[in-house]
Amino acid sequence: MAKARDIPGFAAELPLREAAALAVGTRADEVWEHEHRVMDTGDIEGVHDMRVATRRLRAAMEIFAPCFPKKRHRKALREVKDLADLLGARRDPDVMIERLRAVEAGLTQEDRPGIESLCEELRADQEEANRRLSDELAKVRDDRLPERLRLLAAEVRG
Amino acid sequence: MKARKVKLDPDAPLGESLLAILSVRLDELYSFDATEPDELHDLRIAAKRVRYTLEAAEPVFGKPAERGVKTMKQVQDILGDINDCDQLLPFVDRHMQKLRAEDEAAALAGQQLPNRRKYRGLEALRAHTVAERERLYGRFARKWAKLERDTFRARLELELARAGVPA
Repeated sequence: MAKARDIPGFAAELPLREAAALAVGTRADEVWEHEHRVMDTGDIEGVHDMRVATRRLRAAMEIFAPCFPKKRHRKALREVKDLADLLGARRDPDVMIERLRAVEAGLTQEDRPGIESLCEELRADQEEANRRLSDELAKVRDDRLPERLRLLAAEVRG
Repeated sequence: MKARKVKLDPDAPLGESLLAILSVRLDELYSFDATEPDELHDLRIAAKRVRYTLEAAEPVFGKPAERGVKTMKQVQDILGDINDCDQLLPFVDRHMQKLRAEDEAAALAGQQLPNRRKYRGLEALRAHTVAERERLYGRFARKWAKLERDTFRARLELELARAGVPA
């Protein structure tokens, strides 16, 4: 899991609106750093890292919500949540398959076809999640979410 | 569970604001009864919000926030694993229902049942998952009781307040 980047200047006396700008700006940049790895199915950590980065961005947007223009903040937060949900739908089957394999290791040969059939269903769900995630990433780019987040962060400084 | 709104002044200092947010998030966390299975999901979400607030507070408050994050992560990990079991069980049940429907259709058509070898493993998986959930819940209950014995909340808030006072 990628470590969260330090936010220089983040100190107790800093006015909340300045901290909001720094935190949301930094966490938003971290999200897009992982984008190129997400559609590579051989790199399962790419999805995980982008999911963790969206989780951190969401947390920053929620914590500092009172500093942002309400309507635009709500819209951007909704879009970040949608992206996070799709990253979760892509990642969760990996985790579940890993769990099933661990249980399977302790079972007999006769028990395996049942577990395998469940894994197949999970892999099918994952393919569907991959398609939806690819569409969402394209949509997010078309709707200029990264730029809007940067703008929100810059504006809040006043 | 929707997070409670915290009234904040955008010009107030960050440290003070984070303590105010944390206090509300801790109120939410402790508003749930950890012995009530129906409340575990909301408790998990509340623990997540406490952790994220503490993560944001780490650069400001240092070690006490870091320790709080570690503790909340332990709670959240156990609750997350319980949640995984709660997600897996209905998924297995739906899958078995689907297999049964396919087998019934095959039987009606006078064909061999395509899924006859699959039920045994799924039943075993189900039993394992139910047992694992029980084990995890026991771990969570012990962890939660320990946090209460150690007066986790009072200590955390005290340490953070001390760390936030300029030397």
